[in-house]
Amino acid sequence: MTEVMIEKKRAGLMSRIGRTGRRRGNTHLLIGAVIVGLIVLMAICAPLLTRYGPIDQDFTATLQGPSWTHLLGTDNLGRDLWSRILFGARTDLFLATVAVAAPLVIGTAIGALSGYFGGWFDTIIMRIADIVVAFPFYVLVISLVFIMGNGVGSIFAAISIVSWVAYARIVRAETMVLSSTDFVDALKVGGLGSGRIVFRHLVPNVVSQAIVYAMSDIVANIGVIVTLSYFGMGIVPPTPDWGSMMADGQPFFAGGYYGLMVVPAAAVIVTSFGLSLVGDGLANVLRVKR
Amino acid sequence: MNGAGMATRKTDGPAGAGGERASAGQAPLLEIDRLCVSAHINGQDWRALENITLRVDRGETRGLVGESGSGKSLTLRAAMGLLPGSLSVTSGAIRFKGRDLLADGGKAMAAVRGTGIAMVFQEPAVALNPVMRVGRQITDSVSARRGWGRRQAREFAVELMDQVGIRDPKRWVEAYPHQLSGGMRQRVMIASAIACGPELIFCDEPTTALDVTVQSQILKLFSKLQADLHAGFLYVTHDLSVVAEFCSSLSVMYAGRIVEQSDDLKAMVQAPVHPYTRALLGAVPRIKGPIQRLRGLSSSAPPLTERSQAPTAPLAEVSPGWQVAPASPEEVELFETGVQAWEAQA
Repeated sequence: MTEVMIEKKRAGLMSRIGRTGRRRGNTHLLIGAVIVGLIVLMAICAPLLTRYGPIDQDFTATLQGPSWTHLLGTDNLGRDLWSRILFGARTDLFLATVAVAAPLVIGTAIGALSGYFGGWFDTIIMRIADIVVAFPFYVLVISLVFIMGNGVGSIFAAISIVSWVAYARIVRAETMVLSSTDFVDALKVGGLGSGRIVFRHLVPNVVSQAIVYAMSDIVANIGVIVTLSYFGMGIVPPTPDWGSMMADGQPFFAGGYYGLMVVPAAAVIVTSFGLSLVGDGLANVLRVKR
Repeated sequence: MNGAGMATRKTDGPAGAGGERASAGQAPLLEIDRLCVSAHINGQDWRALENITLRVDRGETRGLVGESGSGKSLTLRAAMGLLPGSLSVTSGAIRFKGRDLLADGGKAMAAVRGTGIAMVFQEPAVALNPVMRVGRQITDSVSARRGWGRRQAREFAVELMDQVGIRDPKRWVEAYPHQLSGGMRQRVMIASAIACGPELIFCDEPTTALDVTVQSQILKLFSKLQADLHAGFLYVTHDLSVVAEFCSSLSVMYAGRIVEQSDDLKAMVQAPVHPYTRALLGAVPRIKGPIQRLRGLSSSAPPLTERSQAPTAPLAEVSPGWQVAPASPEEVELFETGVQAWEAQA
């Protein structure tokens, strides 16, 4: 068994996946990474890829079709659609990523502590988690945004408040399994403090599960952000964002200006597709090797 | 080396050991005093350990033997404060150098873990952190205590790995546990146990999961550590040949009780008093000497819920340092007839 493991280690990631017949995972990861990488690159280099600012209005060129001056045309205020898509990617991807990082960190910490200590602490945390989960996700997020008001900050806060629960549950379950093994007993016998055991030894063992979940959570977050903005509850108007772009373009759909709505929708779909592939591929690669 | 050490130890005999204790006026290294542990199952308490009394001195290696389920590992876990939630200590004391580890809400226990008492586990594959490099793992408790930096810790890890007989430690210090062989993992486990310089080392069947050749290497390592560290060892096993090779004193457990123990292993093995000890020792095949029929017990220890809940009588002294539990007539019959039944079967 040991020899096999050493061999696997030597041959690296590809052979490990090939051997277990999960080549699929790596292809997914590759395609997903290319798609997401391109989109992220485009978002970062947005000012270099367009001559127009995302909120620059040009009333001499409203509702134009695709041309060499405006690659994807313009909207009813004469804003360049291509620039708005690029800068919208900045807004949406950034917010989606940040809104995953915070719950990931908070949820992992709470879940690990909860799983390790158990007892009343665990009971309280898990009852709070039950309450949060009892509400449909969108109902809770929309109510929270409604209470806190529109804007990037409140979307971030609303998502964080709701989605740490999923991370806490995943990490708690994994930590509980680990906590009853000799491995944790050995650490206790070594005289290590609980904090060191939890954060230095247990968390690195369980965090991969949370990271895999985080990848799919980014997709969910993009969905939330776009949905909220579409309903006019998210990102405040002048800031470019795919959701509000769809909402803005909708009245012109019937008039034949399909692009105003279809292009941002396609951007959402392609991005989510890429992120899902990355998540799927990562899940295969990071699958517990114990 | 080991043989010589054992020989001198044996010529001292139990009287010598007793004298040492009395003259030093010092508390023994580890003293487990009438320890009782109960299991709480379906609203009822069942005694898992009953009046466990044993002691380990500096430089002593006590074997703790018994069949599966006799409570050997449980005794170690209780002494380390590692009892699972369903089990709890109901009475008795565990004293390390005279200090009761069960008192003051676990503070005393926390203080001796690592520096006072260390433990080597049975299965190194599950007792090591799979995602941490072994070098850091070995020194993690030392670094935490002394606030060492990475480089200092690494140097110490290499030193310890060398001490436990890992060849080319610089090469392996950055390895992960899954890259090591079973024997190397157990060496790593031992290295992390001795990292903080413990005075007492619990060994919970440390060679059971290893194959025979590796087992003998690890036993050699333990013998070397015995000489180097002058620590006390409490060695749980069900392998009597390991006991014979490695231990100077022996406690025999059966169904959560100590049935017989002696500071002088040799004397006890030659003339065991308790019928269970006789049966247990009779079950060891002998290569030398006249050919004898292999003896054994026909039944194993009763499960927790079928054991007598009556209080047991205290151990009686056979000679200084040698105690035996009084065996009831039923027990005598069980163990003796068990042996006979086995013989009839064979």
